[in-house]
Amino acid sequence: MHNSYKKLGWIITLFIFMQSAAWAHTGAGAIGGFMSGFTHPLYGWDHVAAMVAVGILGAFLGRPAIWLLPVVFPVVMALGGVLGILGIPLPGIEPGIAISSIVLGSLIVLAVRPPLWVAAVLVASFAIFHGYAHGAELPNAANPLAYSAGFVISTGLLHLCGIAIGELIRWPWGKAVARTVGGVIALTGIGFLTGVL
Amino acid sequence: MSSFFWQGCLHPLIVPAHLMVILALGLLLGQQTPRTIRTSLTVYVVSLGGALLLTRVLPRLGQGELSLLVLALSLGVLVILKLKINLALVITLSMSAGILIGLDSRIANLPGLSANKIYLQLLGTALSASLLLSLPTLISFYLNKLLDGIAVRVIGAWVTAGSLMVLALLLHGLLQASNS
Repeated sequence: MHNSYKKLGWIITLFIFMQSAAWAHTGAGAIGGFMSGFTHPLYGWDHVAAMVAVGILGAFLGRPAIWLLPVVFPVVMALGGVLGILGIPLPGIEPGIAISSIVLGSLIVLAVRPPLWVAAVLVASFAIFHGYAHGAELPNAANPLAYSAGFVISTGLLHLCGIAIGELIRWPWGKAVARTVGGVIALTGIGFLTGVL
Repeated sequence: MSSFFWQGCLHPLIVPAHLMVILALGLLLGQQTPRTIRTSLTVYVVSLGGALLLTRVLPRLGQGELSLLVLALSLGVLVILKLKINLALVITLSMSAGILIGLDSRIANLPGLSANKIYLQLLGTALSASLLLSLPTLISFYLNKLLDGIAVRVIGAWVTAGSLMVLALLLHGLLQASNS
């Protein structure tokens, strides 16, 4: 009997410590939203290819492209996302994403070094298509802000992967590796455009 | 009692809009001089504390997330541009961040919940939101010396992009609600 009272006492003590006040924000959906946004660009190989290509191209072109392109891309991508959220029709989203891989990949494999403004305009115009695709998904997210934070960070990390690959051009073998990756990216784009992938 | 304090500490971490503003403000402060950083941090902590206390008497903040996102967007753009900003503007932005985060961290006044527990939770929030700001500020300050602060500007672009999209989504929802 004495033991039962003791157990009851422990349970009551535990419940006293477990009680909590009600907050306006509970955090429910934030982690799920973040993870869903973080993994969204990773599931689409067409997105992954283009993001990595932006990073490699930035590293190929050197300063200031190495930081300018990864800054231009998310900002313009957000503008594309706004178009997607507002439901403003934009034709050729999927072909546009595939073409972005073909063009950026070709620039890398052919070692073309366009002027900075040309590279920025190219990257910005492709970012619109990528942003539109993400923006159209945003209204369905459990926590849109966590979702957008997740996918923007994921995009940035893909750019960093690209920059790391592009930085290999310091070595002769690295240049070959970076250009090969560019070729694979361009081929991936062709695969998506023709419907093979 | 300690669980109330701990919950207060966790609050800024579970609200993405608060985290976004804290991160953006930290990045911006890291781009400033040590004197500006010290003054702005002090203003932020005082504003945050004052606003948290005001939640006990003021009604619920309407469109708190919207205001926080507008602030995060403005801070993100300033981080990308890396302009020379005067002290008054940095202080105003720090004060706005402290006030908005504080007012948006309101605890529902449940019957039977003692005032001590509420104040303990608010103290946890104040402490955590202040320490959280010092972290990105410190990281940004040192990262700014590396590669001309490229990394800081890139993270600023991420904050700007995320805020812009969710802001558009919120405004779109508001417009749709007002039309229907």
